[in-house]
Amino acid sequence: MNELFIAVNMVLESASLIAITVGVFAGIIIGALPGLGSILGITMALPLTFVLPKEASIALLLALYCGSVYGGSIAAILINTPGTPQSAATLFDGHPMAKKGRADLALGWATTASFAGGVISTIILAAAAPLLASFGLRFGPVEYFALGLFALTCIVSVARENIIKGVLAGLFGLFAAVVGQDPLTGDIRFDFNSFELSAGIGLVPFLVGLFALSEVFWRLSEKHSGQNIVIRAGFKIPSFSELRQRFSVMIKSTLIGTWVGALPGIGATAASMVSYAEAKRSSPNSSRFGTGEPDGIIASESANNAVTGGALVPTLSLGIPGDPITAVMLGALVIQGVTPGPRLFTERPDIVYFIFLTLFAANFAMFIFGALLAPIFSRILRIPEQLLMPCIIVLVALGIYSINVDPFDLLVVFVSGIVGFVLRYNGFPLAPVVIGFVLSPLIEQSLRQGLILTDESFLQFFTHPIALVLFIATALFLVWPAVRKYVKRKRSAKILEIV
Amino acid sequence: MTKKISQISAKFFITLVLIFLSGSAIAGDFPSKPITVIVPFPAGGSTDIMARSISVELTDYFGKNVVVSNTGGGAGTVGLASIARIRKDGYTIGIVPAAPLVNQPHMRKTPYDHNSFDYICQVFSSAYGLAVKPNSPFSTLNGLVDYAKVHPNELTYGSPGPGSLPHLAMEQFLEKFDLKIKHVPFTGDGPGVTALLGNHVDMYLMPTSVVVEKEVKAVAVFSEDRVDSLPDLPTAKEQGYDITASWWGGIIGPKGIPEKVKERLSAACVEASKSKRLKNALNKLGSEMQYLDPVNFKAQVESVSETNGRLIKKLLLTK
Repeated sequence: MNELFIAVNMVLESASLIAITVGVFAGIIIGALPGLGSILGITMALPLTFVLPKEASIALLLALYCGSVYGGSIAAILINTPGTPQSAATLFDGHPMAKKGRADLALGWATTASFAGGVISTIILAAAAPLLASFGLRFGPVEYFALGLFALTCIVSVARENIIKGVLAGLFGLFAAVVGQDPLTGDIRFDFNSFELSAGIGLVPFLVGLFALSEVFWRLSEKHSGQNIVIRAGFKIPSFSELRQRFSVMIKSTLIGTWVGALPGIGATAASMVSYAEAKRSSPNSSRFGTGEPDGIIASESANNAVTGGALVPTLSLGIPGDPITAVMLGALVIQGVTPGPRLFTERPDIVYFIFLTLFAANFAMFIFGALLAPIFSRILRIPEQLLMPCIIVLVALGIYSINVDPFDLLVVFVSGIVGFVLRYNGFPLAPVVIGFVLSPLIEQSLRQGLILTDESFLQFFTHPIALVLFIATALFLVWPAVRKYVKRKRSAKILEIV
Repeated sequence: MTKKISQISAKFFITLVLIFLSGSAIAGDFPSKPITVIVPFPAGGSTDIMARSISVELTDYFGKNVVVSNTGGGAGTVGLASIARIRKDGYTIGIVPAAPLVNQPHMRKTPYDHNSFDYICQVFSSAYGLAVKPNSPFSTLNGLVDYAKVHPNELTYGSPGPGSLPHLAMEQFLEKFDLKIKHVPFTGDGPGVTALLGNHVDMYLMPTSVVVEKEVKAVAVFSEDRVDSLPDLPTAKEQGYDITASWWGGIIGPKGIPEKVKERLSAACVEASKSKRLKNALNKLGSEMQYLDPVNFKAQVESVSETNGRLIKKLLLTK
């Protein structure tokens, strides 16, 4: 208890409070700008941690992390481009809702859902860190393969009108991710003798090109005379009754996010996709998904913010980062002389409590800043396109170039932008491309690792209980729409008979 | 008229700046401006933290800022490629681990090889320890080897990736003692060590720092002598298997840095290697200070590059 008291004092110190405030504020802006993501924000702040006191450094990084994950949703809703990859699933319903003129409510839902996801996952992190971490360990290659396959089924749900085109787009995404080094043999695939291509296609430039740049191209190609749909700027917290109605989606998405976050190596992007797919499957408003359904925004935002707490579970208790962002966080903590691992909880409980409390505070700051900043951001939509579009191009180019200082990344952005445009033009949905691209390495690697472990026997995969459950869930998910249709038809036939 | 004057004065000014800039590049007063250190891995990883600790020493020595710049991607090759083609004035150098230097050029088409660099010094080295899964029945290297001899292709070992230093070290070990153990590559030590902790692979060759940090069971350390952090862990040599393997690296620059500048950099490196603070920082990362001068560092790179090149060809990692 004494340590908790020390930790509270550490948080209440002015340096920590300033760090949290600045971190969340900067995080939201960085997250909202397409192409500048959590990793960029945290890495940009890393040099600062060399001069700041330990507590302030840790607080700054955690606050940046929370703020940037939330900030991504603002861009997803307002300009149809996820500010960070984690918010890709927010796009599906967030933007349609904004287009209907309810940008304020969409932002309100995203903020509320993010806040709930963040706070609840922090509580879970604090309560169950060692417990959850040991469950994460039971996931071996076979289990990961089954999980990846399950996550892939959300392609079906996001490709609404045209499943064939959706699946094709998904396959394209799966394929685009295999360029570069073979993860098992080390061979270089599809590099066309280009050294740069042998490193593979980077997720961030690919996503930014596919969404942000293709959006710019798309708007250029549309010949509309500057008459934007006037969207009411503002921020509206959903009413209590609405909140109560959708409370279960929020809780479920938070749990999915925390759980997926605790599994090493999957990350918030996949978490929000899985959560979105699950919400679409089980929600009573399922048919309205993709047209601006609040449940869709909640599913995505609660889950990706819950990942912040979840991903810190293995990071803190085992020293194993849950995603690339926590990998950077892990390094940053080591710089501060705090070595995460099983012993951290016994050796430095004050630091552990401090981290929990900081996350808590950061989530509150996020809610406040979200409410204050959202109206300003929603004005972005009122900026004439002739100004906004070039701004997006400049921001995107700057953001991407600053990550690796590699001009090749800019080429990737440009080419993916054209690819995205061509796909859109021909009626292919873009979301399945991302889903395929994100899940491809996980699925390929875990499948092939699993096959090495089982002596090339795929049947043995079904003897792993966790994997079996996931396989069955995948099958049910794929068959469910057909079954429901069949049942419905039968039922209506019966009714006809009775009549 | 005024236009002409301003034009002339602009030209004059530009010339002055140019003279000033070229003057600053003269080796005698190196360094006259901040030095950039390229790290071929993203911020926050062990290479990055190590490079930042070394930069602090260099900054103190030169009295000029030494700034770390991360160029990640392609298993370190993107960063090394940019070090190879950077201006050869010594103001941009690299702090790099060995893998992209001695392994990657054998595996993919890289725009550089180990001859593309000037070698300043080796700074760090950390021994690998062979860890086993938590519920493993083995407690000695002998027990493990004996079992593997009788049961070929039954046990599995994880590695942070195909063609990584521990992968090749394991293959060298297997080749030397005629063993067959299946290789399961992961993407980095993070997921790999997790798989070991979850009992999904039987063993994993990892830096001894990770053995200490994750409190895993280990059967041998692959070094000449026992390591300070694990005094009870016998070396492979003690158990009758003559093999060593370590994660090492140092400071390099593009080939063709002026001799005088190189001497200044080497001198800084010698000074840094005496620093208690750097030693502590390295130890914290589970690494040891192991200084090698330019000649010996280069020789080390050449010899390991040759061995690993042969192993990579044999393992058909390359097309």
